[in-house]
Amino acid sequence: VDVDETLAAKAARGNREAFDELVNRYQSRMFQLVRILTSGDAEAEDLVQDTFVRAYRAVGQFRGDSTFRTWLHRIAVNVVRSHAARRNSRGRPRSVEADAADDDAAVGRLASHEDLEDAVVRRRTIDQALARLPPEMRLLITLRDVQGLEYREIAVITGLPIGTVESRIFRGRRRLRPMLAPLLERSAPRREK
Amino acid sequence: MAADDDTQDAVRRILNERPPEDLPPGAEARLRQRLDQEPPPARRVAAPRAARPRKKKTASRTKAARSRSSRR
Repeated sequence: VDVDETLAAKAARGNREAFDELVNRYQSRMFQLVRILTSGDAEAEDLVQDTFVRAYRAVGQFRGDSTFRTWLHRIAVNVVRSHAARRNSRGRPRSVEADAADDDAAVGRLASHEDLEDAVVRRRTIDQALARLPPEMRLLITLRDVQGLEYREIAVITGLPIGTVESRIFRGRRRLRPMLAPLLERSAPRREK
Repeated sequence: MAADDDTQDAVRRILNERPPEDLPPGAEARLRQRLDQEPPPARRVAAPRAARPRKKKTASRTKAARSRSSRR
C-alpha cells in the first residue's frame, strides 16, 4: 500500500502525527504550485495553509478513489481558483511577476552566491514565461512538467478529458519555447569545434 | 515533426528543472499552529442502510411446470 494512503488513513482516524508527516511530504511542492499559479502572489503561504486546513478537515472523507497527491492537488487548485475569483471580484490587479523582494530574500538563504543568483534568474525566467500563458494552460503545464503528475491525474484534477489535457499541454510547450529561449540556449549541449 | 519533438522535450526538461524556492522562514510552524486550532477530522459516516423489503415467498415451481418451460 502507498505510504501516502497509509498516512491518510491514520490521519482520518485522528492521528495528527500522520497528517503532519503528509504536510512534511507536500508543503514545499504545494508552495511551488501556488506560487506559479498565482504568479508569485505574496499570499501564497496563506493559500498553502488553506489547502492543508481544508485537507485536514476532509481527510476523514478521503476514500482513496484517487491517490492522495491527486486529491491534495485538486484541493490546492480549488483554493487558488477561489482566491483568483475573490481578487477579480474586488478588482485588484493580479501580480504579473514573481515578487522581486522574495527572490532577493531567497538569495541570502542559498549556499553559494553564484548558484543562488543563477537559480533565482532561472526560476524567475520560467515563472515569467508561465505567467504569460492563459491561466488554464499554465495550470496544465505546471501540473505536468513542474509537479510531475500523470496526464490521467491532471484529467481528474481539472475535470477535462485526457485528450484535451494532452493537446493543451502540447500547445502550451510550443508557446513557451521562445519565452524560454535564453535558458534553452544555455542548457543546450555545446558542439566542439 | 522532429523539431516539434525537440521543442516538447526541451521545454519539459527546463520546467522540470525549475529550482524550487524555499518555504518562507517559520512557514511549517505557522501551519502547525493553524492545524492545532482545528478539531480532529470528522470521519466518514456510512449512510444507514434502508431496510430491504422482504421477498415474498413464492411457491416453488413444480417439477411439471419446470419441464413445461424447458420444452418451450
